[in-house]
Amino acid sequence: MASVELADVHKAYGATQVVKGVSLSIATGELVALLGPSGCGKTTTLRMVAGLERVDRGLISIDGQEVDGPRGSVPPERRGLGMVFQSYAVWPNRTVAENVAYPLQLKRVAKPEIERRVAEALGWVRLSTLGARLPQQLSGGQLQRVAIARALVANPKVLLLDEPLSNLDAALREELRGEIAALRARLGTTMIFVTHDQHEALALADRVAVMNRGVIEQIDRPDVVYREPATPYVATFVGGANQLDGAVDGGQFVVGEVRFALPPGTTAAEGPATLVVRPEDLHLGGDGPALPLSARLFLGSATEYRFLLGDRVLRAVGPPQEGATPSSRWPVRLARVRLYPRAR
Amino acid sequence: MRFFLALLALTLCACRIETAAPGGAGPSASGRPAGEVWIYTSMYRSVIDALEPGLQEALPGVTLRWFQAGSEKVTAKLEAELAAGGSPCDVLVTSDPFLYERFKQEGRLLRYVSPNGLRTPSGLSDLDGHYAAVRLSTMVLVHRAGTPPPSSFEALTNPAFRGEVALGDPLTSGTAFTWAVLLDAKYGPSYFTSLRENGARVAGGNAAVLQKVEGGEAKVGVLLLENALAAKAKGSPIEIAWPRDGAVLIPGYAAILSTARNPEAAKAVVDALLSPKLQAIIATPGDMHAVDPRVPGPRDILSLSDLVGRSQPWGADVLQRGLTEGARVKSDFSKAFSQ
Amino acid sequence: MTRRWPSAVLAGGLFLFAGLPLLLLLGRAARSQEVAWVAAWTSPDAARALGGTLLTSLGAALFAFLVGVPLALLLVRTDLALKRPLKATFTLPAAIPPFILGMGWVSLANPKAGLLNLALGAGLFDIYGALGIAFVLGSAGLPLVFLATTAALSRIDSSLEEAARISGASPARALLTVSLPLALPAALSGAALTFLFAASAFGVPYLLGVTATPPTPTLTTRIYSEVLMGAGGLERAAVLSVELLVLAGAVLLLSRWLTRKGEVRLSSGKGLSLRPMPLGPWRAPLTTLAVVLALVLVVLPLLAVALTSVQPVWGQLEGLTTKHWGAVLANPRTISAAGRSVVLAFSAALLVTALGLAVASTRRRWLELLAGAPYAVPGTVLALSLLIAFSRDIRFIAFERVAFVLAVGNTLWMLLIAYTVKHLAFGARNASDALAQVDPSLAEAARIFGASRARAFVDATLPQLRGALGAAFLITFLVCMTELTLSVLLIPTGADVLGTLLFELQSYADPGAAAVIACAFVLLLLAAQATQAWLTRKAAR
Repeated sequence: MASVELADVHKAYGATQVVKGVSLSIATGELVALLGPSGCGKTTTLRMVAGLERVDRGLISIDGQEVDGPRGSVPPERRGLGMVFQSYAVWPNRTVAENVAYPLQLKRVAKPEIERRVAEALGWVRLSTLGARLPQQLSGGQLQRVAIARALVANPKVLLLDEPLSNLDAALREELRGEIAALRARLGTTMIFVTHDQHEALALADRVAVMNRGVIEQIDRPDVVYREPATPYVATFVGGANQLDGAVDGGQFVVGEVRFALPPGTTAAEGPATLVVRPEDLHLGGDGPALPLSARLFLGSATEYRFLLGDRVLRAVGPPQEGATPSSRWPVRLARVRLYPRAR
Repeated sequence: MRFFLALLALTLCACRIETAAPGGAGPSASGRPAGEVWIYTSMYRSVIDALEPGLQEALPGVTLRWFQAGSEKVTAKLEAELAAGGSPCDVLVTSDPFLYERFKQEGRLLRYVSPNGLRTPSGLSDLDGHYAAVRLSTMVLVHRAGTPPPSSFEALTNPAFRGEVALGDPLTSGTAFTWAVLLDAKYGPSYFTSLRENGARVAGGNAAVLQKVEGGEAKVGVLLLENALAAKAKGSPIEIAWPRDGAVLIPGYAAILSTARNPEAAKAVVDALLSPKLQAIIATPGDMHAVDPRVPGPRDILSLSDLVGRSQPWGADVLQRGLTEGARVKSDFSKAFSQ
Repeated sequence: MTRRWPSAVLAGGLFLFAGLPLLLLLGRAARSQEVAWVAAWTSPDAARALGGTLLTSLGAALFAFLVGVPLALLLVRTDLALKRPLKATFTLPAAIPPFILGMGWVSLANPKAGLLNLALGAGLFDIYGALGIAFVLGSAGLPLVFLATTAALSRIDSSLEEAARISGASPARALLTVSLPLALPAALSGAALTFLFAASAFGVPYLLGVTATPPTPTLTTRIYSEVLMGAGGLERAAVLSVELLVLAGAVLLLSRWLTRKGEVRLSSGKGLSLRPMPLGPWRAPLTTLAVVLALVLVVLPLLAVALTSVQPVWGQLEGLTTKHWGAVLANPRTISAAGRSVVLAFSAALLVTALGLAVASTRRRWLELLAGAPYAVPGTVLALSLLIAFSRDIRFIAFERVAFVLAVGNTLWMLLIAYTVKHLAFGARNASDALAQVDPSLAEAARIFGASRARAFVDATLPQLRGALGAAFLITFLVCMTELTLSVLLIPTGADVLGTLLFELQSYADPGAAAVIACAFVLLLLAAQATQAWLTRKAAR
């Protein structure tokens, strides 16, 4: 187990700047999620930690030891890491047990010891009975479990997970997410987890780093990132907030012809601003402006309403409301908002 | 079942459709040769190109068709076609004399004595008229210019030529085989053993022997005269040496197959090949000796009568020996060189 | 839904054009009284020939495997420098008739006057003999291993190697323990093809075996001397060919057996990523090594051939001349022969690829064996058996008025049939190795979305096979362009192809002119490759 430190890391492919100055420090035993849409540089960042890519500029150290920087780089095989790939990368010509045994064989662990530890690792991921199978006889979820067992079997300093759940169906994803959390609680391994799924990131991580276009926009505890997004981008990406560009004018927020009353206690400078409101903070009823309702979606615990504002759709989630049917107009009210001033 | 249906369907698909009525095509029965005539030959392309205008002139209205390849390949193709039940070949003009004697004995050749062949020195053509020599190739000795010439085939076993001799392979080259049959008759199988002990190198055919001498792998070689003449003309650093124990004549025969579809035209082809005009082409540019004594030797080296005088005698006995002893000669040769 | 019809049609075609001719030849052998089967198989001569064939062919296969596989690994999976030119260079030997390559080596390494021996001290190299044959055939067969392995390696996702790196494997170790085993089936089947290629080759064993002391006989040189020299040779040659066929069957089965376990599905269909592995400090030395290999195995003999093309006389280094070039290139026969060869080789390559794919997708092993068998038959024997089967027009008369005439004898069709039958093994082997590694779920997915079986194959499976099929097409085309043995016997009158022209020039004491054709062909290929590279670069810009 170890800490990981990235300092002002840059990476470009040809003329495309993929990672533009990422700094991040991860404490021993911590699980940090790199969250962002595809192409934001999160996978590249992870691959640089793994040693599969070199940094152009900046430093990476693991456990206080510099592994990549201007003074050269330590190859991946000598960084003592474990990694789980999106495509599983389970070797198709080896059995499950042989796959898991491989890292130990490379470390010249004695045979009986290998057998013991492979059995143990397969136990962690509940594959104890499938050791002799070939990968093509396994399902996607089982393959990913093999990959996890293989990554953990040699007690890596850090476990890197690159979109480990995105190839799986929803039910399996839930299940495996729970297992990763349980494994982590049991083994306490430092982990870096790359995902584009905010639920995964929020559920698993100690801290979430939201990445956009090669930079980290915010890094903090999941609840903080969720409640106090540092930028409109983070707010939109995490939690799926509504984002409105308009202006603050005498305690009201003006978008085109429509004027919303800002909730009491909101402090905002007059002038152009971006307003972010989460669906659960957009309430139906009250004395707000009436907007046309375009759709109603029943979510079980709540109901989602979609309103039209000009060419934008505003989402509101709350308890079901009698009579709120599509094509009627309903007043809406802002219960809690965040305002980000905009340059004029 | 499916398999056979598919097979039938495929076969029919590959077919061209014709009327089944018997055709009326074929050579005309009236005197003048017509139609097409197939000549299978081992003569070089350049020689064919030189012969063709004269042949065409002698056979107006006949379409000449050639198949040209090395002697051995011509024979192999012909035999495969005959095995299949028929060959288009009318006239065979190759340089493997023993084949003609065998074909004669198997009754595969048509008897025809061309009036143009009467000047051919006796013994060269078949006395029963099944095949006739139209050209003469000769196995001689060559050596690199500036090195001492060997005096005879026997001298190749002298220590002076240790490791410096290149020979054709009697197992795969027809001319080398003829040479081996005659040398075996003269000196016995121990000749081959002596050659081997003297470090002689076997090359494939004549082209390979020439390359070994030209390229410096050997100083002396046993080679066809025509190859040596052509090489010298190109600037090759080789000289020809006439062996005192007799050069080896290899008559190039022409014969008409008994299965020929156009025997009239075939006879006209043989007549034309033996005509003075085409005989002159055999010598120049063909670099072989014509069988017509009036034609001077190629590049004026030796007249036909001088050539016959300097060569080991050729006749029916040699042919018979090749047929009966050939397999043993090859085996002796191969044994000698496998030691 | 039955899938037996396609197999039946393919089997019918194969039987008609490959099986039947060989059976006819064997039938003659069986009926023949003169042929002593036992003697043909057990006489000391036959035993020595079999030994020679085994030694040279195993040597060639081993050499091609040991050189071709590491090269493919370096060129596909790493960031070696000069990849493009190197890949082109190692593909080149397929385009050169092995006989010409052999000539190049004779002039380089004959013990007495070889250029290398003259330069480095006499007697250092001796190209004559079993080792020399194995070496020359191995370097001629190198593209068979190299291209097959390259195609397999390009289907392996880089994350498989990266997972090994993270697990603690060095780059070399990751290549050897992960990528290599996955490409092994393709590499082994390339080696098996090299074995068959070497076992059925005649030109090189003849050139280098006869001259050795003692001579190295092989089955093919023996068959040649039986067929071409003397009565009853055809039958005896047929009996000896059976030996080669048995050997071929055994090798094909052995390679199947060896690769059975290793055959796994590689492509999951997800856009696969190929990230070359950085070699770090090893990049320069390994690049140098690859370049040296390319120079020694390909460029050096080619230069020797090129030198031959400007020598006034074989082996003479003074007064170099371009007269051969002028004579050959100005000859209208060269041009028409080249045109004919392009059409024939292209058609044959297309047929080989399509039929090979069809054979492989029936997934019937006996059909694959049948398709692979003709490759092991020496060209001369195959050509003769085709002559026996088809040189006469075969007429089937229906309803007394309509005749179906199968008339391929003495037409270019015969040559096309021969080229296709002989090289079908390339298509079948490449396609079946690749098919075995394609995930069927891709085609299944396409069918679910309403594609017909054929459409699903074209849309989903075919793109996965592109590399392997491309390799089969390329190699067949190159080999057929200058094919010599079949061409000489089957050529119709008045229609030369490059192979017959080469043969004529080669055997009639004008090796210089033959060298010109070989050089010109190689130059054209290089020009084509350079143009293609230039066009891709331009398109990318």
